[in-house]
Amino acid sequence: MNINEIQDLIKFVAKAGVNEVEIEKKEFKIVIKSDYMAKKKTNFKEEPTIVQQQIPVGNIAAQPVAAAPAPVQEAAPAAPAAPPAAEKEEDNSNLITVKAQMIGTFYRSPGPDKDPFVEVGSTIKAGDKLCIIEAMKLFNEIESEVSGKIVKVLAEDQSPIEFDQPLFLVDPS
Amino acid sequence: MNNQYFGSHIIQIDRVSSTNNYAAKLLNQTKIPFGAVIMAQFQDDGRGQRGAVWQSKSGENLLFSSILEGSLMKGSPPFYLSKCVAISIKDTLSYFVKQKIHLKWPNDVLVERQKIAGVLIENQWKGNNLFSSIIGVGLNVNQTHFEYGFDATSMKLLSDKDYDLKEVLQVFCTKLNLNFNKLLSKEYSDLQQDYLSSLYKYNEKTHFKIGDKLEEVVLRDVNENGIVSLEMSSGNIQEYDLSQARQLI
Repeated sequence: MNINEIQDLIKFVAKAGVNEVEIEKKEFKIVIKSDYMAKKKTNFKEEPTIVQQQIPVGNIAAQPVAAAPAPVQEAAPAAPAAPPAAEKEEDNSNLITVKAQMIGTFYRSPGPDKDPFVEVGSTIKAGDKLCIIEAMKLFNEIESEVSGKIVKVLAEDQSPIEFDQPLFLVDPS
Repeated sequence: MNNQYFGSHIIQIDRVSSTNNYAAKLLNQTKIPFGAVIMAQFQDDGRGQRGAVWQSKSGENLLFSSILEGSLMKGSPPFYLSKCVAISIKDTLSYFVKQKIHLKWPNDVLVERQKIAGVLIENQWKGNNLFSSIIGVGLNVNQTHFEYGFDATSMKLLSDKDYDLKEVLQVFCTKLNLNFNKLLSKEYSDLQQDYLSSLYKYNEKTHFKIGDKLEEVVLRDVNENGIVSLEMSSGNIQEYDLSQARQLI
């Protein structure tokens, strides 16, 4: 992907009014975030900052119309916006965020009186169950795609979650 | 896909913790093909939704799980699987008993306002890919006595006849294959019409608990994601999901 294509992509993302776009190919990965989101996570390792990360996701999802104009303005000077986005990617490249692929209710355990699937510090391998997301009585068991260690649990047990909301931070081994 | 996807293999076991758990275990060990049905005489730890217990006397009811290959659901709204299973239970019951079968939003099966079946669908995701769906069904067939004052009924209570469990299962598999083929060929409007026409209190006044409040509303629609549209007493239409609203029988 050349710089022009990246600029076009950023303009496109800004127009679409989304917060974050992630494209991953074989030897290439780009993450574009609006400034609004980027400001919230200047330091990925600082715990309180990470927690706040979910708040804008929820707010914006609830008011897509109101939130849309902001990123368009901010992303208009497309070229300068690109380097920070790339830097961000390096910052958190050692941690992987597992996100919700659907709206629903987040459960950390297989049943009300059962132990959580994972805790902070748990060592996980690909294929291990991380959580259940219930949507309309469909119980979705989410398996990890990566091996590593759970660094942080970002959503509260039994709480409603939005699409793409960060759920876990994993330090891949 | 052939017409006999569900029920191509039937595995019978006497006693198991839960057929859904057993199905998941066999699937993990790749000891079972997709579409297979596991039928148990008795479940020690029969589960409903999140900790709800599914009670059944040994050998009297149909308890089974089937496994669907997740990729077959690609492009279809996930809730259609739920609709499909509920419709198939309704079709199975209609084959054997005369009473009108109702589906209660989102996927309960009622006869004469009593519960006759339970469904537990568990989807296994590998990252963003749906790997499999395990469909667990408990259907009250020959049980006539229910403990703990469960407001439940059975095929035998409705018709005063005993039924062969395997025969009931065969009919269910036939109905599920029929309905699932509609889902695969994206004939959603057929399924939707079938679902709505059996929906308890469809286009009628009914009571919903919305938050803490009891409201009299008219049930107008259930969309492809299972969201219900209610006409409020003000005349406005409001949409709710299951975490926000529940219908009372």
